[in-house]
Amino acid sequence: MSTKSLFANRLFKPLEEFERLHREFDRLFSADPTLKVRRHGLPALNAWVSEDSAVIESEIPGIKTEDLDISVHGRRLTITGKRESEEGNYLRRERESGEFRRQIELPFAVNAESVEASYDNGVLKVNLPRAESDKPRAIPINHSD
Amino acid sequence: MTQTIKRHAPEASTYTPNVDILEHDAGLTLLMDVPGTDSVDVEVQKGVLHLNAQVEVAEGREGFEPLFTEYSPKSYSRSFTLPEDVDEEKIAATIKEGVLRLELPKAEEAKPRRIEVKSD
Repeated sequence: MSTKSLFANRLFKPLEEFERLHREFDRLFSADPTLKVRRHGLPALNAWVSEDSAVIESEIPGIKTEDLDISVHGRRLTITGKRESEEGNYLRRERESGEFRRQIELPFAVNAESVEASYDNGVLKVNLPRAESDKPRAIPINHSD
Repeated sequence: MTQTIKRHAPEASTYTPNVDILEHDAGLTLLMDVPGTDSVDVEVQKGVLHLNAQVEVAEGREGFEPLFTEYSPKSYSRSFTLPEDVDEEKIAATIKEGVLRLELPKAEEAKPRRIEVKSD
């Protein structure tokens, strides 16, 4: 598999693009209480891929790391977790709490054993190395003389 | 507390971060989501509380292609008019895991006081 074909499948996907824009709009307006738009508990996510690995970053402020679960199955990364809310008399309540789940499909299978994650300033960062078995391999051509 | 990030990305868009406000006997607690930073500029001016922060977000990575980009470098900005009974001098701010926590205590004279009624 060449680098070109690795990325070719995400060159133009109008539906995905629309969904992404939709999420972005929800995020932009969710803080305005008059608009009553709820984002669907999805943490915002950035992801990058190279030929050997993928990196994702996600904004998930104010959770305990033990309440966060990351799992990898083949090409699929799933982030689930829950955010607890404080007890008390709320005068204003905009911050979402409760359970969330986000799933993304990567362009390659991941070596689940080598996945590393960190959580800093409310941002989750996950490094996902490509599975060796999924890496492109040059096949030597034998000459028969 | 006044902490400021000096660098400001000119293309950064401004977001209105989500805020919770809780009331209790001693005053108010304000929680604001500011993922990506451990520094928020907290300022009270003429009875208005101003909260501002800048967030740097990794945009490009060498040898990597973006797959999803749902957020980019940005600033967070929010202002609130404080109730008159908040003691501005005693506002305390902490930040943890991308959540700013402000304790806004009521001034002594504003706290509910039990008045004992004596009979003679």
